[in-house]
Amino acid sequence: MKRQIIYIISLMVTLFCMNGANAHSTSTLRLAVFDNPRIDPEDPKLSQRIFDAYVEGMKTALYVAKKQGVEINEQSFFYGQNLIDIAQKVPYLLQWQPDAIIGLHNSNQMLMSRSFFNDILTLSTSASDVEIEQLPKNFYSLGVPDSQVAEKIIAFINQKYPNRNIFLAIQADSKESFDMADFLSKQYKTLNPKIKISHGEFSGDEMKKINMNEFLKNYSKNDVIILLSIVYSSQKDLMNRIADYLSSQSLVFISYADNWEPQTSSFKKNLSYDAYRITFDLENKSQKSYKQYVKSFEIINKKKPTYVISYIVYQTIMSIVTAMKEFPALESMHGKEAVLYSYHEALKKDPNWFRSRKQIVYKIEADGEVYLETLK
Amino acid sequence: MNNDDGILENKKTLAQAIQKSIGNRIVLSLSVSCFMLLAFIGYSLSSELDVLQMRIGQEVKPLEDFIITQTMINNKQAIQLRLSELNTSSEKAFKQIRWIPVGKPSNNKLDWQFPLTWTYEYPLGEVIGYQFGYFQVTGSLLQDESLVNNLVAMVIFLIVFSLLLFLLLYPLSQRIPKKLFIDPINHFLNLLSSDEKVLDNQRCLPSELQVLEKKIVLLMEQIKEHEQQKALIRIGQIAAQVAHDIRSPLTALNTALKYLTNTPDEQRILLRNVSNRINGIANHLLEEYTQKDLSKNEKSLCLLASLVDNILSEKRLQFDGQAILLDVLIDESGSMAFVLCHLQEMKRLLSNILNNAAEALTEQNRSIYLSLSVEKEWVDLTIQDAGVGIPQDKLKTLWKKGSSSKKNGAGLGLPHAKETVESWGGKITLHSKINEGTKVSIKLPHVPTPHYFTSEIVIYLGDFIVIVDDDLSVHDAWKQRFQSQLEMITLVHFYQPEAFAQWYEEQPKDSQRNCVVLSDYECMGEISTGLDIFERLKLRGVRSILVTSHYEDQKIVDRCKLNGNYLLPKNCLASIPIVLKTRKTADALYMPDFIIIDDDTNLLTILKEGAIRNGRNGLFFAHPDEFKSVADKLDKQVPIYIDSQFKLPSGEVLKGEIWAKSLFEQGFFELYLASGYPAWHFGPPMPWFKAILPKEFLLSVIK
Repeated sequence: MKRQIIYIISLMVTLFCMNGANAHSTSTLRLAVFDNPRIDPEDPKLSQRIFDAYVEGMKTALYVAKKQGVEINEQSFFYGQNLIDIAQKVPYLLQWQPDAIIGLHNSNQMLMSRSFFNDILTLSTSASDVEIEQLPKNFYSLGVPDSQVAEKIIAFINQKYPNRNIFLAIQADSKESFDMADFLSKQYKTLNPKIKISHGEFSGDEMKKINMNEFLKNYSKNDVIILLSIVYSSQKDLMNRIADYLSSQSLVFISYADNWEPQTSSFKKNLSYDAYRITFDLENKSQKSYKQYVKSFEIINKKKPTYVISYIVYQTIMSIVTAMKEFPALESMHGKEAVLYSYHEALKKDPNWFRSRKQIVYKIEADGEVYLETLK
Repeated sequence: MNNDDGILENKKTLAQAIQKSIGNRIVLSLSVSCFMLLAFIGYSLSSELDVLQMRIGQEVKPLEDFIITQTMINNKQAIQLRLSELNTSSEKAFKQIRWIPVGKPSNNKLDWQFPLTWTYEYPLGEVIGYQFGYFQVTGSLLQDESLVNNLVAMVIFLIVFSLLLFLLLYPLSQRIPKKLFIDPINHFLNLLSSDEKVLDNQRCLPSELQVLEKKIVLLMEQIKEHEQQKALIRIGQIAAQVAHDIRSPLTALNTALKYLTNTPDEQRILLRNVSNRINGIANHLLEEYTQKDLSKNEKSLCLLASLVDNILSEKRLQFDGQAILLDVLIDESGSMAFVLCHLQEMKRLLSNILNNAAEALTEQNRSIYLSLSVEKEWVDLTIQDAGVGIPQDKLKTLWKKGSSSKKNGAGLGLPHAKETVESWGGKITLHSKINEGTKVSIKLPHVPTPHYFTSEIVIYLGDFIVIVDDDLSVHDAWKQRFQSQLEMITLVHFYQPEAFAQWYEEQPKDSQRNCVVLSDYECMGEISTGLDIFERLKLRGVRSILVTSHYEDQKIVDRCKLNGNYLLPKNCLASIPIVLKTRKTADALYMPDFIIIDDDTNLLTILKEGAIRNGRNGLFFAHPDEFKSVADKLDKQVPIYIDSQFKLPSGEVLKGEIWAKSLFEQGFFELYLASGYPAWHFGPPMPWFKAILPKEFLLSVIK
């Protein structure tokens, strides 16, 4: 009898545990993808390739998440180039009632959305403005804050071009650009007060519209030009335009934009200037997780990943999935509250949750980028 | 300023007034057109401003998005930079833009500030409850290229339109008034001031003005004619005055002539004829020029032979000393030929023709031949001279007014004569040969001798032929005429009418009935005329003949007609046929006391019985036809009382008053209309009746 009772109790415990295990393994996530992957309207083909890579990374993440027991119910809300589009899409997005939002890949977009999402986990793939850190706790960006980059950029310039004055090329409609310029100026004044900092502003992503005369009126010969625009493809255009405009001078450009394209992409034109891109190592190919990503990517997309953006999106989604897995919410919590709870717990453990920690300098050549060094 | 000055000023400013009047309308048209165009420009400007507003809206829209997004991301630097860039940029449709972060625009419309600036407050949109204020955009109309182009185009169009309008309307104030008003008016003024009626056929006048022109010309002709008539009237007044003034001395002359007992008869007659002629001229002048209608030409019976005789008497005196032979040939038919004409006009006409003939005479042959004859229905009076004649080419034009064969002739004589003769129904012809002479022939319709003119003198054996005349030559003339009958008649001569009257009254009735009295009208020194004596003695019929040269005097004619006396022009004395008849019993005319003709047989019976009872010798007839059968045997002096209506067997009615006229024409002159109707019932006067009497009067007739 006792055996029977013990057997029944054991069976009930087993069933309960199985039930709990089942429940855990089938957790769902309503994920809204809220972004504008078509980054360069002037280059529709590139934009399309980036978009495709974005979706491929997203699919890969969904596949891996499912394998890890998180069923992601994804809904994309892509908006246009204009920031105001975000505001127009928000009502539709909120109506869908997501548990988490990812996208908003630049600082402007992220800052724009702060008014709309109060209690939903909102993740930017790569926004880095210093003000991002001031946002409510449901906002987080996988991009490393600019405050952590500025010091290393100054150090690199001092090392490479000591005592050279600085010209900051600011994209005026980018909050991140302005803030970074401000931050860099302050840092320079602190670290090297003799360096003269001047700047020129332009608006928008269409570089051909820039009035170069007005833009470069503060530029002085031998100034190191730090490009503070958002989109790397635009920066490349800007470098070429400045080089054309100041064709008789030896120019130095420093970019700190993210490059979503393959590292092997190259310029069609021979460069007449020195150009460097200082960025975080977004892919860190040595990590185990990257290998899993590549494997899963190949399974889902039947090809090898080539665009960095695919991995960025993958990582962003996986940061939620990992948080949910590693920091499960309380049973009383459901949906967005549960997701937010898990993510907060993850950030508590690691404030730079899923952010890259290695900064790399690429030398920009005519036929592409060449790894130069890793900054310490 | 007096009236003349005013008129002068009006004349001076006529063209200006028209131009001003039309000019005002042009200015008004231009003003209205310009106003409409300005209104259109205003409307276009308003539309352009709407378009500009839309364009500003479109231009500002990206900025709006920018401002909204940059505000939402707290990028104020970018906003200031963008606004600053925008305001310094030249590639924009506005001058300045300001962003007012708080509040709403006071006016959503683009506000135009005169003359060329505008302000537009563009509201920024809301984003999920967030408000972003508004833009205050200012600009100049000159900045908007399309608007400026449109405005410039409008202004150019306005100028061109005004210019075209002016060019189109300007002729209205210049050429058209000149052509249609000024020139025609000047033309009409010239026409009115000019004596010549010159119609400028080269001038292209509108049909209405052409009518006006013709009417002006017509009016001018009428005015001229009127002036001529006025001149004629003036002449007439003078002539009438002359005629009137002549009257008094002429009367004195006539009176004096009556007492010229020692003057030879021939000269005395001539003087009297001349006096009569002067009197006639005076009468004619008075008649001619006191008539309102100068063209009026009343006709009267005229014994042409007598008229010719009178004129010839005058002309003989007139041509005395010119050795002109006036040879007259009046045949038997012509001696009693009557025509209808105006006596004085005829005399003047004949006198003028004779004067012309006398003037045309040459030294070699100074004869003028007159002939008077009757050919069928025409009385032919021919005046032929043996003068120089008229060239053939001139003959054709002589009948036209203004054409004359004489040096100083007005050329009115022959045309007037032709017109006059033709107005009497006659014809006048002219035949002339150079060096042979000219023959004027006047043909007038022959009119039967009126009943009161005797065409013959019928005498019977044993008659007393009484001559009453103060002129011995007349007595001699009659004596000559009755020379062959002197054995069968008794010729009795009286020189004063009163003497005759006394003699006549002393004669027994049978003797009175056998008297044929040939009395002059007027006797020297006598108050009573021959006609007075006829009336007093109740001498009537063909046996009481007034032999006078006054046979043209209408008063005398009328008295003769009423009294039943016959007239014989004195100049016909020599030619009047004298018929001697043997008196037979049957031929004796019956002279009852009265005759009554009435179809009321009852009345006739009563009257007959009454007459018998009263011893009155009357004849009674129930029908005019009964009377006709015995009319020839009746004395014409018998009083006849005629009813007014006779019923004929056919049912028709014979009017007694009309039938009585035929009796009167037969010589019965003592005619009375005895009718139940009052006199006024019969309308116009019927001179053949002595009186219109009521039928009751017949009762007194039979007493």
